[in-house]
Amino acid sequence: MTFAIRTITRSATGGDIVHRPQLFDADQLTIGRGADCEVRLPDLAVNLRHATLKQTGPGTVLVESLGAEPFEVAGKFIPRAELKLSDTPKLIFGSHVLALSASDEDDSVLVDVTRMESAPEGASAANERKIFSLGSPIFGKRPVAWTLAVAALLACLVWPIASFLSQDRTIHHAQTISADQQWSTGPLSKSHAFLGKNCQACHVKAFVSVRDDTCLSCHRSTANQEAARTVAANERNWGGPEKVTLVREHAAHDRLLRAMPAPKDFVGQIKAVFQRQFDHNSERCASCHLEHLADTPPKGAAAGTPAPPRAIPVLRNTEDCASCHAKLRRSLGSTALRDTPDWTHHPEFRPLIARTPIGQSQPILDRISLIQQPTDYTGLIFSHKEHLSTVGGVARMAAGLRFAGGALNCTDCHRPNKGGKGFEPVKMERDCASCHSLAFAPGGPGGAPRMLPHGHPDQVVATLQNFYSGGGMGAGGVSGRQPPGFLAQLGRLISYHPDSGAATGKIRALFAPRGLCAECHTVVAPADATTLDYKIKLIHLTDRYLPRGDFNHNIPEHKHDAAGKPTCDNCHKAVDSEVANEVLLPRVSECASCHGKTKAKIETAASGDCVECHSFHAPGMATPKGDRGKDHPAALDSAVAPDKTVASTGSTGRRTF
Amino acid sequence: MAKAVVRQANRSDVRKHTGFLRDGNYRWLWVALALCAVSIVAYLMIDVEPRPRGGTMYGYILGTIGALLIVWLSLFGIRKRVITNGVYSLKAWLSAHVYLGVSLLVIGTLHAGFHFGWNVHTLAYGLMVLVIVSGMFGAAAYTVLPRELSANRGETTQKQWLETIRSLDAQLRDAAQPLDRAEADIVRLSTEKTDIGGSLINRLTGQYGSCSTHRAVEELARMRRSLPQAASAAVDQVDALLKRKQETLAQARRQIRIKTFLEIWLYVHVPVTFALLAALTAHILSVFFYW
Repeated sequence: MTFAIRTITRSATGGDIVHRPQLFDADQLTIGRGADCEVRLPDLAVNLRHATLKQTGPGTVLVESLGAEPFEVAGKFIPRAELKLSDTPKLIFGSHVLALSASDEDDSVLVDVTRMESAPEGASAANERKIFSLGSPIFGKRPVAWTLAVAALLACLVWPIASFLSQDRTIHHAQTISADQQWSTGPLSKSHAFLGKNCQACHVKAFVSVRDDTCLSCHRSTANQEAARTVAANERNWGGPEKVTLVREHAAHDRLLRAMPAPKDFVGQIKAVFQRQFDHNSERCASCHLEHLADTPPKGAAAGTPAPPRAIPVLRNTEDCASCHAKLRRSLGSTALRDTPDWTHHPEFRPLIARTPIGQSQPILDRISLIQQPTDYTGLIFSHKEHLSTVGGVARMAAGLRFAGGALNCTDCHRPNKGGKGFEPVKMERDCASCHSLAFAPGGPGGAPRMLPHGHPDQVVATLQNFYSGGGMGAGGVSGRQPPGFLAQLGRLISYHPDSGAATGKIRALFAPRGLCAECHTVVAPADATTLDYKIKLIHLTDRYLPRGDFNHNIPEHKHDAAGKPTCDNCHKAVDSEVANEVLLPRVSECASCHGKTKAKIETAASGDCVECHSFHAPGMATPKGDRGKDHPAALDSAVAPDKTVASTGSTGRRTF
Repeated sequence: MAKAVVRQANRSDVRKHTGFLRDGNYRWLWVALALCAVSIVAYLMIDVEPRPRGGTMYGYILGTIGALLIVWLSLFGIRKRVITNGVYSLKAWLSAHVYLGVSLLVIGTLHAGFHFGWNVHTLAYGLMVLVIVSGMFGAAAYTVLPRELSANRGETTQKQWLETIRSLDAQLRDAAQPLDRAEADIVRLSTEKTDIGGSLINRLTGQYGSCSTHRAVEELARMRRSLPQAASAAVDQVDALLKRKQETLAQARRQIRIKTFLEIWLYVHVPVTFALLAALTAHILSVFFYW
């Protein structure tokens, strides 16, 4: 039996070199690494004596492992295999392939030994870069770089813009996740926090700064009823947690712009050029009222504590009052206002003065400086001096009626309003009638005396005529404590007879020059002396003389001195005033006596800053202090709400009877 | 004569190496310091109500400078592929890249007015810091490590180490031919399974505890202890060869570790720069989109 072993090696050019076969005339061959093997495979993966190859019959061979390690045939690792040479089987030992076949010439078995091409060794020079450089163990730089860049662009730019473009611009409720929230530079103030997920509530147009119209859609204070309704509807629809503060500017917008001084310094001019170019002007609401600015964290807070949101947007003053008001005349051309560069140049107060009306028409109101010592038409006959005197009839009556202090005080007639900042309008029935009684007969409802209707001469006439014609006549006279003068007068007036002639007499006496009405009023007698068509000359009492400034009567230092004594007469020289048309306002120098010309003269006085009495958005109000002072929203509302406002145009704060 | 002097001077310049940090007598260090000083002084002097932030004039100026710097610094990736001489040499450019890059920390922080939050703006800032810090690591590595690299290499080259290892493997295979299966397997462990570079952890720590050659040496020693009769000239030879391979591997791996430190930071520096450019674009566009 013959085995022919041919070793085939690969040449440098890639061709096969078939070595001359070694012939073995033996029953079986040993395959292994050992030197004693007929088929010697110099491969450490092969055992020293790995297997035997035996011809079992014509065209069949048996291969058997000598040790535990198998060999590979047709993809299987087996320890024993009987093979047909006609199949030209291939045995694999380590990296060597033994191809078996039958010789064409004789019955010998051909064994072709080939070494398989193996992967280049780990330490091959081709691997140098891979081994010594960092290329292989982690991802390449470029794919990671591009992945990160594209991811960042998609997440931070494309997604928010797509969501901006796809949303409809009408009011909508906040979603759970808003793509554009990541663009927010800081928390919104608490007052606007409800808009936090709805960037487009304010940022309406891309690349256009927040416009005033957007702010004013909820905050506009307007005299136009329809516009006011729209504002209220917007406020309801957006559903903010607090009542909005309604604002208006203290002058027409174009006049405000014209009054604004041009930047003087170079930096300011450059800034202005940029602001114009980029349509990011500094006179927008959002230029002064800054959002997205967190508060500074409280002291001692742990590092990394998120900065707390503010209560309302931060106010940044771009200009102060003086920057416009110092040279207002020059910048505006014409204005009724005097240039006021500072408190020392504050003009004298110019109260709203009512000129004497012609007939019963409404008086014309003018702002007239106190320097001109104006007289104010009231239509009343009244002496503060007489009422405040500690001696005389009034004081005696006050003592009789047990008024505190024995005589009349200011507050007996001028009652502080809610909050004490100002005063309720004086009302005859409440503030005068306890002395100047309107009672004319007993037997009124609930046993109270019958009262003449105040303010309506025609009704007075009708009431008395009705009474004397029997309509209201009852038994008994006037009871209760009445001032002696009044009783005597009433006695003269009323004789308790149901007689229309008597009524006429009484009515004429009532309106007569020394009658009850004429004590305080100028009576206009009927043109036709046979009629009872009496008239009272028009009464005009001003509630607020200084509509563009604020004064708080409730500040303790304004109210009383250190001993608790009221200090009204420090400013209002009423004790010397004998006629009602005197203007009892203090001069501005009176304010300066405490608030100083440049700095406060007394410790407790506020500085002489404009904002103590004026504000930008509500000129008749002091500027609210603090983030959300208790007087802030409501106060501003009442001061600037169109129906209540005391402004240079429109309503004038007058009360006409 | 004059030419000779010039040539002499040039030659001495060439011989005397100055690192990129000292280039031009620290010219760019001074430029960067001046930039930081001006920014800080202006920051302290300009009273911004209610507090410093990016949306003020000073904020916009710093932001513009910062953004231009970032773009210019990013262009270094292109610039470094062209090597030139002179004032605008690659070295001078690198020096400016390093110093101006570090000054961006000051400019970026002042631009933000020390105000940070969970938003795209702070994302851009964070990425910038990451790029700068990785760059500082890289600058430090390139200042210190090249010396160690050549000290470790001595007179040899990487190629020579690989040749040595290849040759040792061949010798190991030859020497192991007479050995029986178990011993041959130990040799195969070393010749077939040894990963010279190893994983990123191996490269960074220099620890190759599970290296196949180490295991082969240990196995062989254990085998020789337990089977003293197995001792033979061939086993001795294999043992000696394995130990020589270990030494060569150790030296190559020291080189790999140093080179890893020289390269690893770029795997942060470059990709994060790309992310930074994207985030910066989003930062700038978003600010003006919702102005």
